[in-house]
Amino acid sequence: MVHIVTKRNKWRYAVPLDGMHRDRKRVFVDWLKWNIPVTDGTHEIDQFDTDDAVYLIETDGHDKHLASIRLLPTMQPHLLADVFPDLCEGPVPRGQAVWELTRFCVSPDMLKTDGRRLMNLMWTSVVEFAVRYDIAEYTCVTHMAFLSQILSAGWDTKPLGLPKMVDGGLIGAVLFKISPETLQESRSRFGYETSVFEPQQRWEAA
Amino acid sequence: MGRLRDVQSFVRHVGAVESLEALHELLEPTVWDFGFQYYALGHHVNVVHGDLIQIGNYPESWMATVHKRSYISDDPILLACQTSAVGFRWSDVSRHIELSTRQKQILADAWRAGMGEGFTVPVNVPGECAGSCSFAHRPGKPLNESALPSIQYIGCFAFEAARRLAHKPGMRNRMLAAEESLTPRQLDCLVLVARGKTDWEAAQLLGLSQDTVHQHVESAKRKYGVATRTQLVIRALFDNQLGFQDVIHG
Repeated sequence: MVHIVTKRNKWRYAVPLDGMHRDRKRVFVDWLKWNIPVTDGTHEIDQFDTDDAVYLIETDGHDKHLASIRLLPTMQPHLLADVFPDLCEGPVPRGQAVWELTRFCVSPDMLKTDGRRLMNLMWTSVVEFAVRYDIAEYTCVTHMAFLSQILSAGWDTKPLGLPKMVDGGLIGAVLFKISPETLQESRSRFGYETSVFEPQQRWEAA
Repeated sequence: MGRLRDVQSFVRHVGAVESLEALHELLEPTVWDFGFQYYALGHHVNVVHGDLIQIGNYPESWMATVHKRSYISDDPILLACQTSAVGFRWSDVSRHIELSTRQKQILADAWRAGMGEGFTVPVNVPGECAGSCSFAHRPGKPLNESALPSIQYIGCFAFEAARRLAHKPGMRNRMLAAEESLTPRQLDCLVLVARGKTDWEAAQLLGLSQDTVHQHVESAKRKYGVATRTQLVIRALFDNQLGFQDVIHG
């Protein structure tokens, strides 16, 4: 069951958040070799891990981070607008109903055994979150190596620009349109009959 | 930079195709439009016919040569897909893998058959067999470098459309994944079985008893619901438990 973690309830999720930043470092820095800052040699935290960020985190029964994704409101600073505006040929999509998907991370401990299930669960949670809280679109900056994985979620996808080489990697920006049908599709495709969130999980907009 | 419009248009149309034929009819002229004559899109397993996606328009004569000489098992392009997460030029394949004499022969034969320069986009969806989308043109002109970013997207979106079609109810049932994942030991035994080792040989190599190896292989067969070791290898390849390399290169 996925947790919705925000500034209001972060205090309850210190352990999973810590695990998330550690796993983000293992995945994005150690494995993918991205040129992003690391704190204390163990945690990957960047300028967008702010109070505006919403984290969808899947844990096991003992608060261990299994998978997560970070959502950023596009009315605030975010990757596409502030770091990679050149990836977008027109204006950067922004709005109350537009959020950015970033730092999709499956724990390296889970990859071999459970990677696919966790990936599908996170895709479903992102869609359910959108439908629940009236988010119509997600933007996303992605490395070409992961494009096929994201496309396997089956969402209505539109490239915002052609991919470009950045720091030795080919990355591009895309836009996903989410609707209640997307949620039905995801649930049926990945075998979820009801909400994937922990009961009583709520996100209160600031 | 008008190419983004073309890519966006392709993406919209490919999202609506209802058959592999329709996908081909959309992809072929798109590929021409970007300066290529040939394309091939599909999964990287040759052993199961009809169950996996394979579409394209490579010259008939080339495909006949490929089958006659069993080139698929050594294809350097397919092998390089295992080490590259992003698209690569065929002329750069030696940067990804060390080419054997046979592999250089394959590339030379392809050139003679009219497949000059090419670009391949690997596709790796977790839990599924590896695949790719390749674009090629006749020898004599250099690769259209400016088309490469667009072609990366075209390849990925086309492959996803093919996957979507393959999973449609009404297409043949493709629930080939195992009920539960193989344990590391089962996988160790399976890799050796796939390379043609007997249970005894595998036992020696793994430091297990022959009986234990036999049990592991039987458990793996049960997980996939198959009766023979050959079927097991095929299913495990499709399920991405085994790599192409595990099976073909000892």
